Amino acid sequence: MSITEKEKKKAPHKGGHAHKHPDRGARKPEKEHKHRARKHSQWGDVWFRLRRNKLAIIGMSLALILVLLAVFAPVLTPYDEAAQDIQNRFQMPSWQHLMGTDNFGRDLFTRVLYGGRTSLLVACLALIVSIAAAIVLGAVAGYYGGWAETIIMRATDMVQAVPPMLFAVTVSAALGPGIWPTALAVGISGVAPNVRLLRGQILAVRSQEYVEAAVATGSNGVAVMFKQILPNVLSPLIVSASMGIGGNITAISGLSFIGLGVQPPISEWGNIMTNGLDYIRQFWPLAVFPGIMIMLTLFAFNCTGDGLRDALDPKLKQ
Amino acid sequence: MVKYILKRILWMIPIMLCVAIIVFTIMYFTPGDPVMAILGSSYTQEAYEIKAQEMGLNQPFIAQLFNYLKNVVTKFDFGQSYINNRPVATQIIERFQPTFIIAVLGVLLSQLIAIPVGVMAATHHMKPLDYTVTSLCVILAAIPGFLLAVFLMLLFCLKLKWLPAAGITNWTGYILPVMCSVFGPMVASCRMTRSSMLEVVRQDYIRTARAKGVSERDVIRRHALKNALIPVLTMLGMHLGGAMGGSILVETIFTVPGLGTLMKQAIYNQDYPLIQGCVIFISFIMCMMNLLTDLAYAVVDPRVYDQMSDGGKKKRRKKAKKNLEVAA
Amino acid sequence: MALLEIKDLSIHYETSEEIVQAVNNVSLAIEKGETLGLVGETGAGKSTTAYGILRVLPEHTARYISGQILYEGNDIITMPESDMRHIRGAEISMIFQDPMTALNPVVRVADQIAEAIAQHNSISKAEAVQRANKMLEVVGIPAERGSEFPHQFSGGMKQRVVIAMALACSPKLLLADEPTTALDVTIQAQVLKLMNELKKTLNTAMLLITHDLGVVAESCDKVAIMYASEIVECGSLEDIFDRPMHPYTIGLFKSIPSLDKSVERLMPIAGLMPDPSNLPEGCKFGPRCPHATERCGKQELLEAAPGHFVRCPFRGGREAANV
Repeated sequence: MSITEKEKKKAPHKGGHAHKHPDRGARKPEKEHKHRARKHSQWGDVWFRLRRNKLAIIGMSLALILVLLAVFAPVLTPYDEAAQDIQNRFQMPSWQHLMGTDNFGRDLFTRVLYGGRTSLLVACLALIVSIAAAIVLGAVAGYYGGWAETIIMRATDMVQAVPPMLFAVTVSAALGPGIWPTALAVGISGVAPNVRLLRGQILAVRSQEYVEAAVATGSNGVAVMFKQILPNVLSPLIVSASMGIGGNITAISGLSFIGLGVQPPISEWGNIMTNGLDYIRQFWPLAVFPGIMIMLTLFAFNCTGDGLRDALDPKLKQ
Repeated sequence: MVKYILKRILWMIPIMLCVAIIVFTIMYFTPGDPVMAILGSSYTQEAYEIKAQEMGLNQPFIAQLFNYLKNVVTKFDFGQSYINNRPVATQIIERFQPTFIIAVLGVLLSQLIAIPVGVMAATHHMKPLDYTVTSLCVILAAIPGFLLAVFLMLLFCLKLKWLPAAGITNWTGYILPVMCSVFGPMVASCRMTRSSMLEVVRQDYIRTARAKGVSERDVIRRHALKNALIPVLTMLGMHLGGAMGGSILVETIFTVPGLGTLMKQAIYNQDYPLIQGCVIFISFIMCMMNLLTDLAYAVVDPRVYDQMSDGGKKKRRKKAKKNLEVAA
Repeated sequence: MALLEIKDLSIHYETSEEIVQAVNNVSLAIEKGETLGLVGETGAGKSTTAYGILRVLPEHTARYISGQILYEGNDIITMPESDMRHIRGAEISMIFQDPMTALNPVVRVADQIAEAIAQHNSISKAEAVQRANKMLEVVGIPAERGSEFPHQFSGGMKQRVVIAMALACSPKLLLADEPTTALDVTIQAQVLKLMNELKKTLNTAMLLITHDLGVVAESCDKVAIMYASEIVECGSLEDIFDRPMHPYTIGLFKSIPSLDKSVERLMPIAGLMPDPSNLPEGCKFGPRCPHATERCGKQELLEAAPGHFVRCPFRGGREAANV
């Protein structure tokens, strides 16, 4: 007889109980289902917890859809991104033009799709820059210590004295508009917190015994770093990365909005909105639709990031 | 304690110097020639050299860096703007006020809303109020400041015509920009307060307080709150930084004559001294804010206060001595 | 009427993944001024029982499944919260296991004691603080240190503060959850001595939870042995120490290293306590018991000798004629 069936037998409570919780009888069949044996691998557990988080599932699905939209943009729209049709400017949304047309008569939906491509692409590039730099710097600081660590950590302090958006603005102003310059600017401004994070993790893991063992058996520093340490500092990095995409997209659209970042003829949500602000009185969709896309993307990646963080941190029990 | 404050203030100097160096260096290596930009399309070699000398741009990098730093530190002279030749420092002082007001007001208001809401969500954990607040926070977190600005402007200025779309000619012009800077910090602090409260409420000393017969409301008020607010305080500095940095976008949308629009103009005009000046100035404000936040820390958490007071060494020795006396 | 009488208490913790049967059918009684030692390993359910008495169990997961906790005749489980608050701190108070985390780090020590006093007496705050400082003196801490914060005290002193806090309102029953476990042996002796003295002065009854039989011998009048959420044996101090009946109790005594005998090996009890979310049917100690037979199904707590109850037919080899 399983425990849950024994529980059911005890149903009538003697003497009542002082809690305000409603009777949980309705949940019992569900509990029985969950008592089936499940494999307890580390990543299996993470996936299990993630699956249970409805918000995370919504977020991840949405993120997937957005990525697919971005990747398959050319296929999804018959219009050319730059095709102008002045006579048909400022058309409201219709079946022909799902989001209407902009001030040059270009199909807005197309521009938004291609804009999404750009935004996501640059955000990912920036993320790669941040994480790669953070791994290198954090690893050196955490593993080798000494004056390398001091220099790197002090430099991080200095850089963090400047508000991140301003730093991105400065670098972007210096490098000018464009995809790679923007990726670099946003990437560099996002390195500092990741360096701290990584170094902290590495310090914590470094003193573990299996690392000492690896070194004792003759592996050299770099090999130890890659094989033993990095896999274990992966979790916070994953969380930081998924939250980071959201932050990067905000920064990139912000930069494009003020004339840095990415500029036309390359569409990007931020620069579409700049256009939109100019014509906001006569044609609000131009400013609103890219804004909505930004919101959806942020929502998707934030939920994913939150879900990942909750799934990777087992200390969080209800 | 005073020693600690002094130490921190002194420590700010090298930090600011480094920030200045970093910013100057980044701007220096920008492609493009300011002298050419100013002289226009046709100029003689002679005119070029005179101008370059005038602007100090014919000297090697290190010399320029050194001069810049010297001027900044000794005379607070951030150079002249390339465009209108007015001192950068003056322009910054002129335009500083609206930015500051919007950022500080925004962050303060955000905390006033976020903290009580966060506490309420935590005390009603797993009940409808909590779920509503959490969901709202997740949704609102997806709206960056400048997006909100665009939507608000559309709604309140253009459709409803309640508020002015541009400028701060009277105080109503401040409403929307402040709302935009309230937003981000509010959502972040609300979530932080909630999760911090949830964690504090699980601590042993909360159980001790309950075991004394203290009412739940008093337990939250007297025991949980102070402890829960500590991590929220840490974030204040960050929020102010975000508000100051994000001012570029919000001010542009609402045409506020503050540092943000000044910077945007400077970027558009490639007016590097002005850009440098603004960034360094804002970073300096940030450093001061961070120091204030750390001091607030000491007020709330006596362990931190002890640590700051004299590195704890004297206190620790005193404590050990006292403890021995009692045990005897 | 006993001061505290627990009848057939069961408490479970329920999470979305499992149910932990922390306390099953526990019955105890404590008279005025009496000290009952509740002995058992970690995870046996002793702390849960104590928290259950004071109703400070974790709100979302703990549930009272059955039973009654009668304090002076009134059932605590069904009492309204406002009445319960009058009891907590004033009639029944508790000393927790870990002194390092039991005190609020940002509130001064005297204020924390004064809070307990002010909660149950209508006096001014200043008066409460004064009484708090006096309590500090009673537990051996100079009154001037009342304005300091917990992190400025050592572990033993923190525990004294906790004791001061618990006894400030002269409660009738003190629940002490392993009060000396986290302390050094020398400090342990001091704290125990302090507790015994105060107990005598105030005539406070005490439920002393511990896994240390030495502590039990020094302070308790009655003893109850708890194993895997159940009471397996209870009786007077002499009953348990001189005539243990349950194989677990006997095993416990046997496993204590002796100072005078020299032996080759220590004698632990083989095996591990069962997982409380997955308790075995029948006798919970069965799998580890050297005397288990096929007869050993579920056992009831029966009186084997006057005042001496045991949940086992083996009875230390002294089986009663027919039960």
